[in-house]
Amino acid sequence: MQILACFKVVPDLDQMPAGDWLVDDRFRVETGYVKNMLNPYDESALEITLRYADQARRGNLPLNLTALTIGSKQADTYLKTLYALRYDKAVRVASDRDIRFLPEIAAAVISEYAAEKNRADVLIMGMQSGVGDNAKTPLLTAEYLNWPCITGVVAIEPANNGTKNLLKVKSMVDSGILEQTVRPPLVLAVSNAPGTYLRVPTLKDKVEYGKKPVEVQEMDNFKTGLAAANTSGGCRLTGLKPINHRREGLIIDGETAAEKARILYHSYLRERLGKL
Amino acid sequence: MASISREQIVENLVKLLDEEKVVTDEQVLKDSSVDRFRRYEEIHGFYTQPLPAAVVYAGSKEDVASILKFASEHSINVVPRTGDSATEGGLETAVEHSIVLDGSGMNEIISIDPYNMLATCQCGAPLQDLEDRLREQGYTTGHSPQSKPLAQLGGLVATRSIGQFSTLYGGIEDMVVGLEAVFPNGEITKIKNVPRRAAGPDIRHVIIGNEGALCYITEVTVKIYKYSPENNYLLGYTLDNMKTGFEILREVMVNGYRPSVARLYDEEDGSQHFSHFAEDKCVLILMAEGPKPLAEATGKAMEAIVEKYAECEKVDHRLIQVWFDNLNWDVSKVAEEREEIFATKNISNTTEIAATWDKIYDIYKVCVERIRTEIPDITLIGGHSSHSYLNGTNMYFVYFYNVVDCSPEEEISKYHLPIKRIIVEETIKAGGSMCHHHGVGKHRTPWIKDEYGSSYYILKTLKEAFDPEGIMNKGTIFPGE
Amino acid sequence: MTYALVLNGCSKTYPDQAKALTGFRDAFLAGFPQGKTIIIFNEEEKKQSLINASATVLVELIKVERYQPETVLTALQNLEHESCRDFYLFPGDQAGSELSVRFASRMGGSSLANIYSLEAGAGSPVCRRAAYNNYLEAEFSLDRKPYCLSLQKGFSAHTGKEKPKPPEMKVIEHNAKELNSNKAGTGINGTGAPDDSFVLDYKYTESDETTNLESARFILAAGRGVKNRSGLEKVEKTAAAIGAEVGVSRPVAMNAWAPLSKLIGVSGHMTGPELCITAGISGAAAFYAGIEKSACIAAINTDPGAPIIRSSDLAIIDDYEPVLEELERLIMENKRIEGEDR
Ligand SMILES: Cc1cc2nc3c(=O)[nH]c(=O)nc-3n(C[C@H](O)[C@H](O)[C@H](O)COP(=O)(O)OP(=O)(O)OC[C@H]3O[C@@H](n4cnc5c(N)ncnc54)[C@H](O)[C@@H]3O)c2cc1C
Ligand SMILES: Cc1cc2nc3c(=O)[nH]c(=O)nc-3n(C[C@H](O)[C@H](O)[C@H](O)COP(=O)(O)OP(=O)(O)OC[C@H]3O[C@@H](n4cnc5c(N)ncnc54)[C@H](O)[C@@H]3O)c2cc1C
Repeated sequence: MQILACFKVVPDLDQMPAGDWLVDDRFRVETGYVKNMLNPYDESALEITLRYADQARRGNLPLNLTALTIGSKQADTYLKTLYALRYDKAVRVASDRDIRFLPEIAAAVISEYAAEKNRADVLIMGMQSGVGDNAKTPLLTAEYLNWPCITGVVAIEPANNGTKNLLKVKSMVDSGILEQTVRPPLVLAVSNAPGTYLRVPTLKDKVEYGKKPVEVQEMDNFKTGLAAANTSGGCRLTGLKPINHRREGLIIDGETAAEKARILYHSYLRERLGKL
Repeated sequence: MASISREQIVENLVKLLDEEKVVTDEQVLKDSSVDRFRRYEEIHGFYTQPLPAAVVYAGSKEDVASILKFASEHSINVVPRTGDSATEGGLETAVEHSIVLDGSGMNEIISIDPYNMLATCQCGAPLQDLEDRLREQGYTTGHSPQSKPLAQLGGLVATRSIGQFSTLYGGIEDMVVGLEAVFPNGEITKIKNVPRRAAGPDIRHVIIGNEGALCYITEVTVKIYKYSPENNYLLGYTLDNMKTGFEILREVMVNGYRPSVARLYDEEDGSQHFSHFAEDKCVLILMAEGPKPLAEATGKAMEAIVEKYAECEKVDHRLIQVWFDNLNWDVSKVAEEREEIFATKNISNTTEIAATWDKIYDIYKVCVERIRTEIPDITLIGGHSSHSYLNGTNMYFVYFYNVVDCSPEEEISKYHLPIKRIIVEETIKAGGSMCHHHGVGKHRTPWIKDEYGSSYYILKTLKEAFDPEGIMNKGTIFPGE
Repeated sequence: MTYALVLNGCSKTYPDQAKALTGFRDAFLAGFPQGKTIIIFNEEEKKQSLINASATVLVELIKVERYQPETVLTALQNLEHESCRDFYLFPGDQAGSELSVRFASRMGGSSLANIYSLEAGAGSPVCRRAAYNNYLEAEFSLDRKPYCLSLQKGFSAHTGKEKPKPPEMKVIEHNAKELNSNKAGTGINGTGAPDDSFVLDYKYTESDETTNLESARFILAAGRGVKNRSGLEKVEKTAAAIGAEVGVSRPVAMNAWAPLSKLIGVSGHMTGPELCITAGISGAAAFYAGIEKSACIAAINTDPGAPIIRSSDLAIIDDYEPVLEELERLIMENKRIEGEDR
């Protein structure tokens, strides 16, 4: 099984000081001061893939894992970590284009890479990432490849003892869990998958596997994909501004926690609750 | 060691205090038998220490006195506790039928005296509360350990804790003015608040750092300072070598500057914090604070010192500010860490030491090297210096490892203790101190005599004099039998 | 301008979808006459009630064996490719969002997921949705028809006036199998889009977890500050006693202290109770979006600097445990007194 896992490194926006949400005239926001992290949905996708790999290796099934990101050099630390976690290949598509709100481009690059450079059977990635919040990349990728897509994925494992390259996919749908045996190729999109922290490689593994060079590809070389993307899309960003979440924030004072609770209840909540 | 049974202990405790102050719920007892040192086994539901007979919530110094007296009479081990954030096993109930004496209910901020610049609190007052109250009025204690949202004044004094602004304000020992403590025989003692005294040895130091092994701290008075964060002068740099970083720290200190923050991260430890701007680099952080002219002059002078070192590259101070604003640990972070440990079997621990300028780099280097090669399954080994002095600095080793091929109870003997051993032995061999600010706890006691050398006589005599029955936190600072 | 509302009649959430889409239509597409509703469904018995909830006179039904995205997409595409509408509106759940994006791609149109407003005038339509994890609002102009839009999760619009029901419905029935047997769907690359044959077998397990978070009038929301599963269990007990529905933040759900069905926020439920009490929640924007419509928010947090404090109406800076204990006592006492009065 050839699996291509895609991820994005994002700023931890919850760390942004409230007053720092400044948008410039090209709709850019300076988020470089906060720590970055793996987009949480992508982190889950990467770990779900490793859990599949554990099973595949145990069953001696053929396996090849590639991790791909589109972004700046900052992502290389994460790519090296993925090498150390036994991804066979780590690829970064370098570009200085502003693709925050152009998921079509990300999808075009990914699909072209999957089809032509990687020959992946399965593509797995997070459903959405918190800068653009487009929630489109895996879906468009599936469309560009003419592959089926499963959303809400929480786990994958080899099916039928790994014969015929089949996959068992567990996913959350609106009010239940769907378990399907499927035949690749297909795209898997991950959103909330409980208990999927990415594991940590040892220094030994870092030394042994993590020193491989990251394969860097220039985005401009993805000609067909980009051409295709330019004919789809069709949304232009025309505005970006902070959302005001402010309310009165009246702080209730008292000697003890219980006293504060009493003031809250008697002065504010009792009447409100009475009306429910 | 107790001369009466578990049931009798509980019965008597209930007689001494109210029933509701004596807790024997099994889960509470289990949680109270360990601290952060054994969290790996605890997270996995293993409790290897003898469960205490009860956890007792003291409401006053008189409560404390009556419990200690009772414990002395019946040779019952007492483990003092306040914020429960100890990292070195100080809260482990190492012997059967211990009493955990919890002072977190004694949480009153008794007085804030801006004229004499004093603040007095009961032992269970959370530092965060005191600091929030002070800052509202334009003051600060100057104490800011990373555990500020967790730790309380009794524990902070008992461990000789230190905070992020220590290079200006000092450790807790520089902040404490007066104290009240109860000794095992029930004696309540109070050291008054004066600016200085030369009336014999400074007995505050018998109490500060005793880790609950000599007496129970019930009240603390600390200095307060004017709080003027608007004058903070924050500097951040990336650099290639720790050696250079230590040189700069030394130069700042020996030239008489007093930054509040002086921190130097190696690239491994730094990768957890600064990878967004300092990949594969060391990071140096300096901050000056206080009255504007002073902060500015200190800041500029430090800038000039660093400028002489070509390998240092200045970074935008906002990078450092945002990081600093997110540095402290509250209960949510502790909770999250537990989940991560459980899910990934990856855990981090730390050991902090101090040494003179001529030794510190070599200790750092040899420890990192040895741990990297001798200990299995390490995922990160690095460290930072975070508290500098005229004569030297500290090193805070940070290490992560995956726990593999062993049961949860074996984590400590397979990984943590061998690592600690390397750090402690190398430090002592080089003439440094094996404990910079977490205390000795229960797991560095094998080396306490080496730490003290001939002066161990003084330490030992304190224990014999003040705790002749040996009921205070057995196995802490002083090795158990 | 013409539009179609696309609803998933296979899902239990159909009534909510219908309400949200109707509300959106009334709020933003009121002037457009020729709307229709497309309903995907699988159970004959439910057909009539599905039709009844429709907001347009013209209803087209597509019968499927089960809701399978590939089948549904191709059927939609085959149904619409000859007389394409200007707008297609989809509900704000995972399935709706998926359809909007993939359908637009196949029809050569433009798509946006999670929108909450639309200005459709003479020029290009303009939509708004959240970005940057709900800290910012982004505005987009759409350039290519058809415009395929999915709503923000939990979207609801209060247009004030209840539209009268259309006098009589015009219903056209289709079957996905027939639609799809005539001609296969085509992707933008000109090759065939996939059908459902990649699925060899499937098993669906309906979750027995139910929540009424979306309709709840009183919510007690718990975050990472409750520390662990047993902390959450206590909060659940309190909630049950005081008659509140329990909701949680993402870390609580990710750590499996509570099922995902209790999650509040952009990736969970979007609620709008009369009263929402938060305990041990910092108030990240991705969470806050899920309680933004609350009439009153009361926050309990030990940290006065937590963002939730500024985003609440009332706040207590303290440990949530004793505060909840006392609140529970007070509410129970009040209930008892009221009970005696009766
Ligand atoms: C995330 C984290 C970050 C930390 N960062 C720092 C840091 O920056 N600087 C630092 O110095 N430490 C740090 N620590 C260690 C710890 O917070 C300190 O040692 C703190 O001083 C302990 O205070 P506490 O109230 O939690 O004490 P506890 O954990 O309750 O007890 C600590 C020790 O003191 C004894 N003790 C407690 N109360 C009393 C009393 N009233 N009388 C006598 N003995 C008593 C106990 O028996 C025990 O041996 C950190 C810990 C954590 C978990
Ligand atoms: C793509 C994406 C989607 C997301 N979707 C969602 C979503 O749908 N819903 C969601 O919730 N999050 C979502 N998040 C995550 C979100 O950004 C935050 O990380 C999350 O909401 C934080 O949860 P919290 O407030 O429980 O935890 P924390 O941020 O850790 O806050 C815990 C709070 O508890 C307080 N506290 C601690 N102890 C106590 C005590 N004893 N008493 C009172 N208060 C205490 C602390 O002061 C702190 O403020 C999403 C993130 C991404 C990137």
